Amino acid sequence: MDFKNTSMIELAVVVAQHLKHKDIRVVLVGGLAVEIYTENQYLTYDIDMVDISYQKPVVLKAAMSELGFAKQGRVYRNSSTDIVVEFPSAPLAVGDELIKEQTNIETEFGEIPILFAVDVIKDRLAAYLHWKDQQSLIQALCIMLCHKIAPEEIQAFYENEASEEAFGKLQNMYSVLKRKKLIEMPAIEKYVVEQLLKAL
Amino acid sequence: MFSLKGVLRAESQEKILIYLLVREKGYGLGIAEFFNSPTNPIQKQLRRLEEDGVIVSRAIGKVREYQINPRYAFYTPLKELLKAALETYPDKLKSDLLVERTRPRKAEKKLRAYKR
Repeated sequence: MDFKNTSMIELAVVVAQHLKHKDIRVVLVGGLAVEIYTENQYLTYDIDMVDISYQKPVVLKAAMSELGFAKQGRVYRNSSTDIVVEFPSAPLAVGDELIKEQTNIETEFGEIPILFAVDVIKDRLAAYLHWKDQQSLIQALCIMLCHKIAPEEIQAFYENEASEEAFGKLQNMYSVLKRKKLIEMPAIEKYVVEQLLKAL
Repeated sequence: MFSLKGVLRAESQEKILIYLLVREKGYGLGIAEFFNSPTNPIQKQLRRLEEDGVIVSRAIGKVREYQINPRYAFYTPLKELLKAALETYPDKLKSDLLVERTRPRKAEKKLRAYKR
């Protein structure tokens, strides 16, 4: 199949729906989930989907080959597109928490199964805490602000992964950004950079 | 950028010290690639700064990793000076220095970025 002119989200819908017909249930995670929840403020070249039906790799491989995707290393590629598809191992989890529920989002191309926004936030915050990944902090703050998800909703998770003091800092960043109405990713990045400079 | 011209003896020194201030650690090729500079002047100034006790290094495999020497006599004022210099940098360069991707990435996948 030719996906030369297919967008990331459209391709994700095509893959998820095709796999569903093959009894393979997948959930969108990773960068494309961030892109969807930040309303396209993030650019990604790959689609990460977790197979929550735990199908055998050979079944997944056969289903993907029907779409013209062949496995190369850990990712699936199709020669007509630069977009790659990866299936990180199940189960779905962020930090110590297992994710048992997912949602579906209706896109212009059809429905796509995806993590809840709050779980994408937790995933990014975990990357920030464990790898000191500032990009992940910016993405998490952007989703929180876009979807009006207050830090208190993830307080228990954050304090468990980090500390009360760290949560206080997150809360402070969120409230400053909210008060200043900074919800675009470049503006959030600028604010985070200012905070990092102060902390040097 | 050479904000500390007149204080430091080479632009490469400023690049090295600013990089090590922000990223905490670094190696010659990585610093040169970040600033899109030739490697030789960076390596030369890394050796000079180490000889003068401003930075220290350790070998990790075949790579020599550097950091600012926390026992350097003028460690605190040097950091303040570098922070003041960093403030004068363009926003894009400050962001690139401070907001790097540090989470793991599998070898087969491309690097990504968000729209600026």
